[in-house]
Amino acid sequence: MKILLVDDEMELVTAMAERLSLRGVDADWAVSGEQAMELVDGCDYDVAVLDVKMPGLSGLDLRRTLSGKCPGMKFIFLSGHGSESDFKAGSAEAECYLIKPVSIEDLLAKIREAVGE
Amino acid sequence: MNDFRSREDLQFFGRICASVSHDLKNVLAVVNEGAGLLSDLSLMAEKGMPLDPAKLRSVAGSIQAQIRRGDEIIKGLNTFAHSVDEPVSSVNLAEVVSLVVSLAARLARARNVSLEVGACDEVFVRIDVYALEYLLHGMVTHALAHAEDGGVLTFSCSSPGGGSMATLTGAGLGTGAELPGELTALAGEQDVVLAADAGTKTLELVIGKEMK
Repeated sequence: MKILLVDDEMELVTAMAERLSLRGVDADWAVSGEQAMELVDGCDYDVAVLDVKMPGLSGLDLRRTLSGKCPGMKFIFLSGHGSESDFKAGSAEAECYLIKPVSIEDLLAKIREAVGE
Repeated sequence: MNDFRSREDLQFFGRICASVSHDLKNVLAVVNEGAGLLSDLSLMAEKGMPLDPAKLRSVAGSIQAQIRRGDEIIKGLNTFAHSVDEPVSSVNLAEVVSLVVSLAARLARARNVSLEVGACDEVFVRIDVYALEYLLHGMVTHALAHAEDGGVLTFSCSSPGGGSMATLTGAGLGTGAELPGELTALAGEQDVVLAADAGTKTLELVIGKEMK
C-alpha cells in the first residue's frame, strides 16, 4: 500500500509520513498540489490524503485532477476548519473527511477502509 | 449604526476568528504529530531500535516552535478582540498595520500572495480601532482580488504633512474594480479618506494625526 500525503504544513506531513512508515505503510509527501502532481506520475499511490485548503491548487481541485489522471486512487480529506461548506464538499468528493488534529490510528483505519482492507 | 452594518461588523469579526481558528488547528495538528512521533520513537526504542538524540531534539524543537507560533496567533487574536473595548482610542498605526498583516496572512497565502509590512513610522491616531482594522483588512481583501499570482503586497505607514497614512502597494493595485462601497462608506463615517491610485499601484488610507 502506498500513500501520498499533501498539506502545506511541511512538519505535519513529514511527521505523519514517518509515523505511517513506522507502521509499515509506505508514504510520500508533498507541500502543495503542484508538487503532488509531479509525484503522481505512474499512478502508483493507492490513497491520497489531502488538506482541503492549500495555497494554489486546493485539495478539492487536486482531488478532481488526480482522480481524472488515476481513476483507481482513493481520497481522504483533512481540514482544520470543519465548516459546514467544507464538510459537504469534502464528504461528497472523498472516501472520508477528517478534522485536524487527527489520531494516526484513526487515519490508518480510514486508509485501510478506503482500500478495502 | 443600523442592523446591516452591525451584521457586517460581526461577519468581519467572525471571518477573523474562523481564520485564526484554522491556523490554530494547524498548530495543534503539527504538535500532535510531533508528540506522536516522539511516542512512536520511544516505543520503537523499547523494542530495541536505537534512539537518535539529534532526531529527538529536532522533533522537540519543532513542537516548541509550533507553541511559539500558536502563542503569537493567540496574542494577535487577543489584541483584535480588545479593539472593540472603546468606541475611540489612541493607537499606534504601525502596530495596527502589523496586526492586520498577521491576521490576513492566511488569506494572502491562500491566494499565493506574500503580504508584508514595509517601512512604518510610529504615528498615533485617534480613531475607532475596530473600524480602522476593518478598513485596513478590507484594503488587503480588495488588493488580493486584483493581485498577481505570486505577487507581493506591502503595507507601510507614514505621517506626511501632519496627517497619517497607511499605504498598500503591489502590482495590479489601483487598476481593478472600484473600491467596495461599504469600505468607502465606512471611511466617510470615520472621517478618513480611502483612495486607489492606479499610477503608483497603491491603496491609501489617510487619517488625521493625533499627537502621542
